[in-house]
Amino acid sequence: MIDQSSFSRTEATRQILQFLHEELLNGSGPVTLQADTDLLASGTVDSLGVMRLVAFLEAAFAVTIAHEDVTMENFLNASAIAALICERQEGAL
Amino acid sequence: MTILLHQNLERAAQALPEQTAFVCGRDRLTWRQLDEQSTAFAVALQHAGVTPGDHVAICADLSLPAVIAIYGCLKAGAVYVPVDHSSSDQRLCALIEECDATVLVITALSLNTRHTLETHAPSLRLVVSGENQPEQRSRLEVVCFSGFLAASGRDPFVRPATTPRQPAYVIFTSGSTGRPKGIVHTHQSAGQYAELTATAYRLSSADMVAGVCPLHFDMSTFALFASVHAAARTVLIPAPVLRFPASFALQLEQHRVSVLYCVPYLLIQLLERGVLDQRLLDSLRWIVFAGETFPLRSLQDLRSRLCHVAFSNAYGPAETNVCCVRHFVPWQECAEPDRSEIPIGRPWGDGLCRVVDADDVVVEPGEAGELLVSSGTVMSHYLGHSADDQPTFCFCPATGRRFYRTGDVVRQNADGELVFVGRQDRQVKVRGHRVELDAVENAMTRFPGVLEASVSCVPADGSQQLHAVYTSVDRQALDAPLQRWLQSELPRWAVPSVIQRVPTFARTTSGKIDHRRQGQQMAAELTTHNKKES
Repeated sequence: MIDQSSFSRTEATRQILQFLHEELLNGSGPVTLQADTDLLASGTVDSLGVMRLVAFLEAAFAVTIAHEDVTMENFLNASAIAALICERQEGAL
Repeated sequence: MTILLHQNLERAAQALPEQTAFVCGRDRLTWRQLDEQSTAFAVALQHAGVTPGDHVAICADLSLPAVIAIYGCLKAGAVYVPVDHSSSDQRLCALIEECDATVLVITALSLNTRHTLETHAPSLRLVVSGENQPEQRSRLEVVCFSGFLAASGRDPFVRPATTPRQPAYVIFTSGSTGRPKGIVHTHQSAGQYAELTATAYRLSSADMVAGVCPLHFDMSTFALFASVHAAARTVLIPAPVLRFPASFALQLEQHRVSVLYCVPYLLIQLLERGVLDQRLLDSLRWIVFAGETFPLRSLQDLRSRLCHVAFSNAYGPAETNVCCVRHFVPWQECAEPDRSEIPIGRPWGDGLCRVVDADDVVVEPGEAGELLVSSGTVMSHYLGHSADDQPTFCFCPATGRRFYRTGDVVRQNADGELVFVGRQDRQVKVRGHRVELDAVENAMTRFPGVLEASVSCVPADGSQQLHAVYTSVDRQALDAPLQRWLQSELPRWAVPSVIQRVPTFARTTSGKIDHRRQGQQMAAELTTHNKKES
């Protein structure tokens, strides 16, 4: 769980990238995974990965991500996911 | 009347030249554009030395260039061989070598893949890549797709003398139980399937068909050939969109899709996470599912949610295209009474089905046996094998008709419809009793809350044990009540010893549950568990 007050989009992006790299790619994926790397075209996230990623986001950032928010646009890259997280956190406060 | 697959395209291009044929994302092709560009592709193949009967491997996601390449191959008399674009370089090379492909069409060619192809695919001469490639001196000629099309210039197209009995494509089995087998379909077997499909679902130029099945999966021929047969428009929805059920549902709405053909998994995902209550799917009129068994309750849920839509269960191994169909009228017309199984229906077209015992003797109605199929939609042969290869085929002594052995166990129900019982190779013995793993899974998915199930036979304590895993609505844990339910539904030896909830299943690239991998995982977990215990 992350302290809400110290939370920022940059920090969220960093943690998402770390999760993608360590958990979804087992540390073996492209080392060049950036905040704007297209996760869908690069095949980083398959359908199983989408579900694991959503579970991680909900637990790590204490947000609820509705099915309707799990879209290609919101999960295009790490920074889009971070933007979604921030939006949901603000909504919850 | 049998015609060649690409003649359906030429007919549509004459009748409706400016109407949209295929859509993918923001791009679209009219019938005239598809006809012209596939002809240009055929000419370019001929320039590259491709002659009728040559194999062309296509390793691409669902896309407009892939459709152009497929029809280009057919026009040149070549045989296209779709390869899963997520497969390893080794498998890609193995399949290229298996069919001696001389040309490879690929979405994007990485440097690694290029090097592997050069050393491990000696039959290959030319690679057509979707992206521009850096100049490089090598044995292999690499050109980009647009350059390849443009190079044919205005050269006239010399039509090869293709006959309907010539191969059109080869689809490889996954090879999970040994060497992959190439299923060879001809213009005739694929064309007859296209015609039967177009007729069964009343496809017309007013339709928008959704193409969601990857090219290496036999179900892709619905969007490639059946919709072209009827001059229906097709929207290609590639794999990345399908990972997001909400986005998938939105595309169905935006493109006003009228006919959807896919595996049950995608439909369950739509039902669970597609937020269907926010979508207006009034254009949707028919959903056809195939590939594996649809858990009954999910089907009923989806039917009641989309109560204006007709549903069909299309059954048939890739070797047969489709051989049996069971239609369900829209829910609003007739809510089906509770049943415990979904029939695979009756043979369609000129198809004949026989249910036989181990001695190939037809069983009594109601008894289970192996399904044999004789139909014009059945494959010609396995690559490298003959058309009378035993035991793939057998011949009826009375009629001389050739039957394909499906390896599927079925039985006839009281209505005269066939019901799928299980795969012959998923029949196991537990303490001397024969158990159909498919039947146990079917019982599990009838329990409220269970979405899908996979049962494996795992060696344990010197004998065999059944281990079951399932996914559930809202990830509820149902182990204990499910066990009690199975005890009431099944003979005691068919009740799994271990029942466990999992978040999701191992899946094949076509979206079916990968029971083999799932079973290996369970066996591995058991070994680890036993080691910890001791």
